[in-house]
Amino acid sequence: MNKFRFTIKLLAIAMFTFACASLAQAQATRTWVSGTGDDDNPCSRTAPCKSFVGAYNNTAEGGEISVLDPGGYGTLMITKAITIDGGTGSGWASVLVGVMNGITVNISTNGNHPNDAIVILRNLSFNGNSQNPTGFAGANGITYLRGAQLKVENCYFQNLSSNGIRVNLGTTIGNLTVKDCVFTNVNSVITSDATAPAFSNIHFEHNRMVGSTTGLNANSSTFANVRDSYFGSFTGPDGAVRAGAGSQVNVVNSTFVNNNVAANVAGGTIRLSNNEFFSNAIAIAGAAESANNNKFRGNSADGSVINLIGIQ
Amino acid sequence: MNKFRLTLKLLAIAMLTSAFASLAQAQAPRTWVSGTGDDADPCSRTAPCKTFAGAISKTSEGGEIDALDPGGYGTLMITKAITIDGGTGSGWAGVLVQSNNTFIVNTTTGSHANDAVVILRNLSFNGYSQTTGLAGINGINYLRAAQLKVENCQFQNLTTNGIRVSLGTTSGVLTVQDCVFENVNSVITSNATAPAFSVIQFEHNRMVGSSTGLNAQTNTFATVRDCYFGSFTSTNGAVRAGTGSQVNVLNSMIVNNIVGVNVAGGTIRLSNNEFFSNGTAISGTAESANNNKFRGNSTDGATTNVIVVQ
Repeated sequence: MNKFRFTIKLLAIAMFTFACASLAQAQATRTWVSGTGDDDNPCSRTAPCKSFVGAYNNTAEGGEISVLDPGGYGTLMITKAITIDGGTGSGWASVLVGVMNGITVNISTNGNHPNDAIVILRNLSFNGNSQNPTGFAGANGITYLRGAQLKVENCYFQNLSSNGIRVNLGTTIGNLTVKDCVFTNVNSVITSDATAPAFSNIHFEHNRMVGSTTGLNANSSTFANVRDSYFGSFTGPDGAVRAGAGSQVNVVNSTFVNNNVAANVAGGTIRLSNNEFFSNAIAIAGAAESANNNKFRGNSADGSVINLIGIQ
Repeated sequence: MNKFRLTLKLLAIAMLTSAFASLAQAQAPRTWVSGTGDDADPCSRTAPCKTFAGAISKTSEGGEIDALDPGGYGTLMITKAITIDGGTGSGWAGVLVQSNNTFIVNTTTGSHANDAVVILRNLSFNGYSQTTGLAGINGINYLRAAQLKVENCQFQNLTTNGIRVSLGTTSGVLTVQDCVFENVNSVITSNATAPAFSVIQFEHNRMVGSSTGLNAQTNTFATVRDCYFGSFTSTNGAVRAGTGSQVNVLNSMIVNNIVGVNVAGGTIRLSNNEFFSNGTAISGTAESANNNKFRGNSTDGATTNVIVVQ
């Protein structure tokens, strides 16, 4: 064999190998996962990865993971700004939550945006399989520990033994937006805690949830706004909406039906405007602030309001 | 070989070739893009293109570009009436905005230059503002077109505007429906030069932060209905009416903003809104129907109940 040609061949092979290696290691702004992908791939549109974890490692800070087709893309720990969009229709992505958390958001102090990172989770399904007979039971769909802003849009949470979303911020401030989501057979929809002077800020809009135990629980240092939401058949004493110590919850244009307790003023403040409370055991526990425009009928006890909300 | 048959064969090949050539160049009323497409293709259902820019040159005026499957279809300059539908399901289309405007709407060509309708539906605009070296400016830059409709779109991580309306001396009508704006510096900034004006119909949109919401800066007539404005941190406010502008705000929730609505030289009319937990709910004096609710704001601000209720 001609030595020169042999050298050229080796060189070509080496170059090709290097190119592949750099492809596999470089982080892309947008990556892709597919049910038929492979985490050894570069997570490109034409060579997608298999799991969110595989794609996450190949995605640049502030980038986006998109979903090509339906699949179970696994649990994930998020420590940097990122957007994950499961698509809809044939691109619908699901996360099977095992005996742990589905997606954990805990932005690390590394990276360029440790204190203002935005995480967007859209079009995802979280299934905790709480009725699996072998004791398989997911704890939380999403655990939100640290991150300036977390946006959860158009997601499904079902069969979770603890929370749909657990907010536990400690001494850092966080902002959670939840829109267009459905919570079904989730023990608690949201439980939110922060340690003052830090606080948890929640925008909760157009979500629908039925049972099982507790709804939106602003447990400590939480400022929540609820609009255009449906709360049905929550059976626990904490209620469909609860404001604990140092917490305020504004509730607007929402329906509360068939709950053990609908709105629970438990050391904090609840403000009500234009809601319907029908067929609950206790509509309001404690005294809520009202704009004198909420409707009550068919409850065992309506509870009391003070019409403090200004109208002009 | 029979000379006659050879001639026939040559003729057939020539016809086939010219047919392909005309297919590639003719503009179709509907074209398709796919993540696995090729811009050298005719953008048909079976031979889709790779980018919006590749498809638009093959789409006839007033036609439609549809997305076959998920993909990043790139930035685009629109100069003629067109509809772009990213679909949902497998056809959800994403657009990476990188250091420029994603879509520029500037209809200056064709037989409908003065009454062109542009429809953008089911699209996702991501400016990647937290990715090193990338920062999308505006999701959509609306410079000229009789009507622009933006429906069921997602805008996120943009450093300047979700939609920039800068009409100059031509009037335009913008409709924005069922959209979500997240981490967009300003949701909309709208300007026109009188006597031209910008009309905005803004319905069922939801937005949280970051700086400014809907800013009717000059000569803009906007109507806002069934919207959610949360956590805007600029003193411009979640809704602002500047010089020569009017904004009607109905059935909306305005919470956790530094300024809720800002009457800054123009007129704001309010009916049946909730203002909770803002710094200043109303800056200036807004017109009201005496049916807006205020609580938990540092300052509620002032209204005049001039909206007629009868």
